[in-house]
Amino acid sequence: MNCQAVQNQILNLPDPRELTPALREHVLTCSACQAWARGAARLESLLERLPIPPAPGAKKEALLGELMQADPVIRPMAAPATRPGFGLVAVRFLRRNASVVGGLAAAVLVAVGVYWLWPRPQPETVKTPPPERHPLLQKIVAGNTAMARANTTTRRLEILGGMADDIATDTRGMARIANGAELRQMAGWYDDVVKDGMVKQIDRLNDVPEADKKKLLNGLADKLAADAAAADRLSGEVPQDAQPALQRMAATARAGEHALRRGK
Amino acid sequence: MARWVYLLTAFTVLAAWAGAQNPAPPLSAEDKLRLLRANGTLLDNLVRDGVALSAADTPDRRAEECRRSALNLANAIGAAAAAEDAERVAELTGLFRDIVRDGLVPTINDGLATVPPQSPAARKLREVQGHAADDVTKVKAATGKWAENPRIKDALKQLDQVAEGLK
Repeated sequence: MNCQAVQNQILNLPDPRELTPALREHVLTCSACQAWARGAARLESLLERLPIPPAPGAKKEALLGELMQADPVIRPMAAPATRPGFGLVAVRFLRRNASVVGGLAAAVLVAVGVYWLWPRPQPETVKTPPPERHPLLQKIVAGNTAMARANTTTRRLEILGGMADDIATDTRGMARIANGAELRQMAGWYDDVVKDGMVKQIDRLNDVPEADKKKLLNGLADKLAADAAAADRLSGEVPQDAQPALQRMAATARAGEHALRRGK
Repeated sequence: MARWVYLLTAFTVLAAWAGAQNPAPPLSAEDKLRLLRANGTLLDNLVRDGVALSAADTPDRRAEECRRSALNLANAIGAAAAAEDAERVAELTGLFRDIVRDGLVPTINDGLATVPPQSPAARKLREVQGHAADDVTKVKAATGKWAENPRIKDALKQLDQVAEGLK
């Protein structure tokens, strides 16, 4: 062990006045290290005798306060630059892909619409049956109501033409299932409307300009001609019992058509 | 972009409209025949009334013929009520209300506004007015039993307003 190493080890001792046996053996034989050990022992003794200065009064409180404050002791580092918000990104995306997003939305709406309209089993509930209205009765009452308010012959003829059309349509619709008497009753209504209604109105059209009169009467005559043709056609297809009523209707329609075309 | 907004709006409106459609199914020929048998006599009268109305060229005659239609309906309501046929009572009461409210009352009021107050036509119009008020009373009495039926209740409520117009 050389002197340099011995002297360093003496400085590293917790108390240089108490040497280890190995160090003591060297120091006893080496005057330089002996002087070094004596100096270190003396320095240790002198340090022990130094007075300990009192701590500053507010230092402890200041340190505790710093540790107990609300802010974290470890402060965050500076935040990086902010990124664009979600709304802005969404708007940019929609602008770039308007067609795709629009088509997708339309497809979703179609799917929702189909789901909405798709028939699905209803829970068992007692349903009130819908009101049963007789269409022909409704139309005839509506015709009479309109007729009460009709102030011109033209208007009356139009209403009568509508009534004749309604009766003819209903009669044809039932020609295969109604009996002969029922169909004759309906043909009688058609007779009343055409012969006693429409044809008798022709003479009252004196105050209507000739061109308007001709246009009105020809229009009504065309409808009667169509009624006659339809009744004729059907009379060849229905049971024998139903044929006379349809033939009567066809004859009435044809007679009315001729009267209207003649204008008297 | 605007094109898509228009397209989606149009589709949404169309879907809502389609969903709201709930048309009553059309009657079969058999159903129509059954109703024809029930209403045959009434239709006989109403068709004749309609033709007579078309020939009536004065306000008092038009009011008289129109009231005849209303009376035929009132009589049919009485018959349906006697037969305990609430469904038929409801339909006929609605039709009676329609013809009185939209045909008879305006015809009488227009006539009274145009004929001289002391003329025979005015007297006839007031007479028809009185008869029509009696018809309304008669219908209300006949249908009172079904006053809680929603359809009849609604028609009767409107008849009360019509009756005010006949006073």
